[in-house]
Amino acid sequence: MTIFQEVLLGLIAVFGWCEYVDGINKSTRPIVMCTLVGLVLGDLSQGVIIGGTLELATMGMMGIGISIPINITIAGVLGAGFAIAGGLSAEAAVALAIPVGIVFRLLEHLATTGYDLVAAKMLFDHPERNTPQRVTKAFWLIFGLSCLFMFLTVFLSLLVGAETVAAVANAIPENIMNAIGTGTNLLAALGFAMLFNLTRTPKTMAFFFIGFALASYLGMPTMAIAILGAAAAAIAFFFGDDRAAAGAAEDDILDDFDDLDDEPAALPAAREHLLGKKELSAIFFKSFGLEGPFIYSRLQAIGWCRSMLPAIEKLYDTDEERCAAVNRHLEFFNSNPEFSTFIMGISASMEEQNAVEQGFDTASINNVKAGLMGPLAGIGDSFWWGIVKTVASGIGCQFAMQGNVLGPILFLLVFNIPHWAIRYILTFRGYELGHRVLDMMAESDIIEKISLCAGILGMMVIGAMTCDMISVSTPLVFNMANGVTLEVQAVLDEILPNLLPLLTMLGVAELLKRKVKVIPLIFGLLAFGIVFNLLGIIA
Amino acid sequence: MVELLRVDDRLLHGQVAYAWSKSIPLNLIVIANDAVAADKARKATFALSKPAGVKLVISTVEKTVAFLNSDKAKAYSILVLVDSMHDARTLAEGCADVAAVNLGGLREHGDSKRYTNAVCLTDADLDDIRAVMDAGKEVYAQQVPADTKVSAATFAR
Repeated sequence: MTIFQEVLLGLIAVFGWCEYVDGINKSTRPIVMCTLVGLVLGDLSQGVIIGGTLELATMGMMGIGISIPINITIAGVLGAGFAIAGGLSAEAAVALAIPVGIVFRLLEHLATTGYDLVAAKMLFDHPERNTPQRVTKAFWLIFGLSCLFMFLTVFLSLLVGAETVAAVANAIPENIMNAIGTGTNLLAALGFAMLFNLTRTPKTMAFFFIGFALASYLGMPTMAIAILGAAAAAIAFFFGDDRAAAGAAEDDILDDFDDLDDEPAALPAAREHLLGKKELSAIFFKSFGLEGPFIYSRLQAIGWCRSMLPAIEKLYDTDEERCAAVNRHLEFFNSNPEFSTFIMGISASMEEQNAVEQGFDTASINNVKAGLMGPLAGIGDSFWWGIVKTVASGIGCQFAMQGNVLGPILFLLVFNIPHWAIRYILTFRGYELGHRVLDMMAESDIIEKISLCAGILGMMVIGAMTCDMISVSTPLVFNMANGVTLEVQAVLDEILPNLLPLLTMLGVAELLKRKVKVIPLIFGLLAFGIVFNLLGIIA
Repeated sequence: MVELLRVDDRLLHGQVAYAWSKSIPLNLIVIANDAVAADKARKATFALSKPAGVKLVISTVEKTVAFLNSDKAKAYSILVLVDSMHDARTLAEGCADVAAVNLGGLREHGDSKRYTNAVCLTDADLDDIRAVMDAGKEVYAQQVPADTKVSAATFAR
C-alpha cells in the first residue's frame, strides 16, 4: 500500500464518520466503508464482498446510549484494508476486523473523555459566557477532533501494519478492557444525575422512584413507563386543585363599570407563528449533527443545542436571552437521532411561547424534553435499527455478497429515503403540535400546572432510564468458613434490584449539588470504575 | 373602543371566548343584559367561560350605553355581548362608537325564520336590523372569525 493510499483510507474513515453531521446515515457501516476501500485499493468487488460479509456479521451490534461494543468505522476500513492488501479472504477480514474494532472502541472511549474536557472548557465552565457562536465553534472543534482521531487511528494502523495491530489487539488483557468498559459505564450516571437535578422538585420526586421501581422490579420497558408517566401527569392535570387559578380569575369579574381601572392591562400579544419554514428547515438540517460531538457527560447535548440555534437566534435578540436559551439546550440529551426532530419542533414551539409570554416557566421546556427523549429513543431505535436498517442491510448485502456495487448504494438509499422524509416531516409536526397545545394552554392560567405535569412524566422516565442505562454490579463473592459462599450481588438484589446504579446516580447528583465540577467528576468516575473493576469489586 | 358587538343568545361561551378573543386582541368583555345582571347564579357560570387575562363586566344595557360613551371605555378593547337584536339596536343607537353589529347565534325564538345556519330572526328582529342599517351601520352574520361575513342586507332588504 502506498502512503497515498493510506492517507485515502484515513479519509474514507473520516467520510464515513461524517454521517454524524451530513445526514447520510449509516455511511459508517462496513458495506459502505469496505466498498470505498476496495475502490482505492483497486479491487472494488472484493471490497464490496468484504463489506457485505462484515455487515452481516455485525448486524446485531447496535448502539444504545454509550454501550456500543465496537468502532464499526475503523473495523470496516482496517479490516478491508488489511485483507485486500494481504490477499485475505472475506472471512479472514471479518476475523481481523472485529478485535481491531473493539480495541479502537476502547481507545475511542478515552478520546471521548478528552472531548468532554474540551466541551467543559468551552461551554460548561463558564455558562454565562455562552453564545450561539460559541456553541457552533465547540460543535465543529469537537467534531473535528473526532475526525482527526478517526484519521490518525486508521492512518497509523496502516503504517505499522496488520501484524502489529492484530498482535496489539490480542495482547491487551481482557480484564483491562472490561475495566475501561466499567469506567465508561459509570459516566452515563453523570448525565442522568444532571438531568435529575434539573427536573427534580419536591412534588415530583416520588415519581422518580415509581419509574425506577417499575423498571427494576417489573422490568417494564421505558415506553410502558412513559405511558404510565403521561397518565399520571394527565391525572394531576385534570383532577388537580384549581382553586388557585379560580381565585385569580375572580378578581377579573366585575359587577360595575366603576370598578374598572382607568388604564387597562396591555393587550395580550396575538399568538403568531414566529418560526417559519426557514427556521424549521434549518433545524432539520442541523439535526443531522445531533451526534456529531458526542460527549459522555451530556451525550448529544451539543448537537442538540446547535440544532436549536436557528430558533434561538430568530426568537431572542439580546445576548442575555440567547445565553439563557443556549444553556437550557446544553442540558443532557439523548434520544433516537432519526426521530429527534419531533422533540426539536416541540421545543422550538415552547421557546416561541417563552419569547412572547412573560413569566413562562422555562423549566417546562427541559421537562418536556426529558419526558419525550426516553420513549422516542425506545420506539426510534427499534424502528430504525430493528426494521429499516435490517431491511436495508438485507437488500444491500444480497447484492454486495456477489460483489455488486449496487449493494452499498441500495443500502444507503433504502435507509435514508424514509429517514430524510420522516425526519423532515417530524420537525414541522412537532412544532405544530407544540404550538397547538400551548395555544390551548394559554386559555387559562395553568402554565404552572403544565410544568408540574411535564415534571411528573420526566421524573418517571429518568427513574426508568437510571435503572436501564447505568449498568454497575458487583462480582464479589465471600467464601465462608463452613463452605457457604455469599454472593454480594444476590444479597443486594434481595434488598433492591439495581441498587448500585441507583446509588451511583443519586451519589453523583448529590456531588453535583455540592458544586463539584464536572471534569473532576468525569475523571473520578472513570478512575473509580477502572480501579474498582480491577480490584474485583464492581463490574 | 368597541371592537365587536355580538348578538348571541348564549352570550359568553366557548366559541366566543376562544375564537374571537384569538382573532381580536381584547382586554374587556361586557355582557350587556338586564336579566343576567340581576342573576347571581348566571353571572357565576359566565365567569367560568371567561378567557384568561381579560376583564369581564356583567351589567345592564342602560349602564353599558353610559359606559361605552365614557372616556374610560376608549382605553379598552371591548367585546360587547347581547342576547337579542333589540338590545343590539339600543346599543348601536346609543353609542357612536359601535360601527357594526355581528349576528353570531340566534336560535329559533317566537315566530322566527331561519336565515343562516346560526341565525333565526323574527319580523321584529328584521325591523331592528333595518333601523341599524338605516343609521349607516353594518349588520352581518358570522359565527366565528373563520367564517365569511354575510351582510344582513341580503335577507333584511
